[in-house]
Amino acid sequence: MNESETREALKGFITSQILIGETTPLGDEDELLLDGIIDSLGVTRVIGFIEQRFGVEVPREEATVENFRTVSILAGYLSRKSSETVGGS
Amino acid sequence: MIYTLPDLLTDAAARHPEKVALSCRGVTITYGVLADRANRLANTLLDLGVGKGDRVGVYLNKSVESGVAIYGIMTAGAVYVPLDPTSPPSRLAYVVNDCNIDVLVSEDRRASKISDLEELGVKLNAVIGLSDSTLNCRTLAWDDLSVDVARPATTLTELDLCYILYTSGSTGVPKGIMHTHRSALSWAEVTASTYEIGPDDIISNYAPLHFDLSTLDFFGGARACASVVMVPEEHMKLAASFASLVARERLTLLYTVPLALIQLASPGAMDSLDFSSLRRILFGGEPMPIKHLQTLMEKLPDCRFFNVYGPTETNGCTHYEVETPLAQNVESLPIGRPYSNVEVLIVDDEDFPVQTGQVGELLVRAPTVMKGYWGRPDLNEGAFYFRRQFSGLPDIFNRTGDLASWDRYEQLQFHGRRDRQIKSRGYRIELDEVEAVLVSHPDVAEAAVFGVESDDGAVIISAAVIIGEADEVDASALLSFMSASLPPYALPMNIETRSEFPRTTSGKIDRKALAADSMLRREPERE
Repeated sequence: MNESETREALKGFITSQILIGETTPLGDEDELLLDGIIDSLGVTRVIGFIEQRFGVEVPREEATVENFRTVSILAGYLSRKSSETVGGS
Repeated sequence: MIYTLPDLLTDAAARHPEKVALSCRGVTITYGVLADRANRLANTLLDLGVGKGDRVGVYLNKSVESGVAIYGIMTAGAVYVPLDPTSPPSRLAYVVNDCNIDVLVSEDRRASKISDLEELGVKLNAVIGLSDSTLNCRTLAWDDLSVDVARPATTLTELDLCYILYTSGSTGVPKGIMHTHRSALSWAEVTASTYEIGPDDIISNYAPLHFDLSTLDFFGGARACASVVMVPEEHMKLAASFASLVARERLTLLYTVPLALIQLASPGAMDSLDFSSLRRILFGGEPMPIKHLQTLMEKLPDCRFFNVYGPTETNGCTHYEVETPLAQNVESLPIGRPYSNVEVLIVDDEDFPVQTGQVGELLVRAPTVMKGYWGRPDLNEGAFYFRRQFSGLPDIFNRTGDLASWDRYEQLQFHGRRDRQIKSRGYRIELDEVEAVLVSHPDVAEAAVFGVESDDGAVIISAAVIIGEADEVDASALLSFMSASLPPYALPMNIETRSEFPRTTSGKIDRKALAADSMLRREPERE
C-alpha cells in the first residue's frame, strides 16, 4: 500500500467511525487532535485500526503529537514504520 | 489592595515583570508583557463600546492569547465567557444569544466557525484576533489593538461578575454559572495558600477555559506569581506526549482530571523521563480510580496527592490529602474536609442535618460560591438554602446536589448525585439533556439515556430508543442528529433499538434496569 492509499484508508476509517455527523470532508492536513476531531478514546481506536489494517504495531512511546497530528503526517509515519519492518527482517 | 482579578495581574506584573506568566506551544509571555497586552485589549474593547458587565466571548484553542483575552476582558470591566472550541455551532449560538454576547476574542483558524454562527442568526459587533475575514462584522487583528498599555480606570468592584461558565443543563440547553471577582479571587487565595504555591512554581493548565479547573491554574498561579504551562489540546489526547511535556517543562504542580493521571500511570508512559520536579498532584472533576492512583504514587514517591472536590457553582470547597502509603483496602478516596473559610452542612430531604454516617445533600457556604445562574430565576430559586438567623437575614448555602456523609474519621465521603448529572472523562453531563435531544428526533418515540460503568471505573454514556412510525433507524443517523446540538463528549457510545423498555411500577422508564442489563451483556466481552 502506498502513502496515498494509506491516507485514504485512514480518512475512510476516521470519517465513518469517529467523525459522526460532520458534513465537511476531512482533509489530509486537517488538525486531528486540536479541535476534538479525535479524542483520547478516538486515538485508541485509530491505533487499533492501524494495527489491524496495516499490521503495524504502534509502540506507546511513538503514539505522539509529532506522529498523529494530521492524516498526512500519520501516513508518513506508517510508511516509515513499514519500510523499517521490511528492512529489518 | 487586590480586590479583583485584574488587580491580581497588575500586582504580579509590578512584583515580577520578567517572570514567565504563561507558556504554550513554545511561546512564552512574562507577567509584564501579559499585563501590557491585557491593557491594550481592554482599551480596544472600551473603544468598541464594551462596558462594565458586558459579556465577551473567548473562542480560542489553548494559547498565550487565551490569557491575554481573559485578563483583557476583565480589565475592561467586562465578563469573559469561554466558548468550547469543540462544541457544535448551534450550541455556541445558544450561549452567545443567551447572555447577549456581541464581541468575540478569537483567532484566524476559527473564522469559518464564526461565519457559521452568523448564518445561524447571531449578530456580532466585532471579532478581535482575525487578520482578515469575510464576516458581516468588524474584525481586528491582534496587531491592530490599541497601543495604550495603561490600565483603564473602571468602577469595577469585587462584587461584579468576572466570568460565566456554561455547563450541561437538564432541560436540554446549557446553563451559565456566574462568578464574581470575589468568588474567583477567594478561590485563588485558598489554593495559593493551601498548596503553598510560590513564584518558583511551574504549574500546569490542563483544563480548557470553559472547564472550572482552569481558574485554579490561571488565578491561583497569578496570586503566587508562578509560571503556568498550558497543556495543548493535542497533548491531552496522547499519554506519551503529555508525560514528556510534564517532564520537559519541569512542572512542580499538576492539576487535572483523573483521566490525565490514568494516562500518565499507563505502562511505559513515564519510562526514562525525569519527574523529580513534581511536588504536588491535585485531581478533581470526578472520583479517581484507586488502582491507577496507587501506580502513580509508587512512581512518584516524593509527591503529595490531593483529591479536590467542588462543583463549578462553589469552586473547590473540600479536599483530602492522600495518605502515603495508601492503605491496602481503600476502595475510594474521601473528599476530605472543608478548606478554611468554608462551612458545609449535610441535610436530609426536609433540610434537617443528618447524623454521622448518614447520607444527605451537601450544602456549602463560602466566599467562593457563585452568584447564580445567568437569566434562570427558576434554577436560582432552588440553588440556595437559607439558614434562618435571629437577625432575620439568613446565611446562604449553595445546594450542590451532591450526596455526601461524614465518616467516623470526620472526613467527608462522596456518594454521587441526587439527580441525573454524571461525570464522564471529567466532563459534566446532564443525562436528561442528552435524552431530551435524542427524543426530539422525529423517528424516535421514546428514549432513555443512562450511564454504564466501564472496566476501569469510568462512566460511559449509553442510550436505548423505541422507534415510532419508521421501520428502522440507523444508530449513526441518530448520533449524527445529536451531534448538531451536543458536544462530542456528551454523545452516547452506543444506541440500541428496543421494542419496549423495562418500566417501574409507576410506568416510568426504568433506566437503572437498562443500565444493569447493558452491564450484564458486556460481561462476556471481558473474558
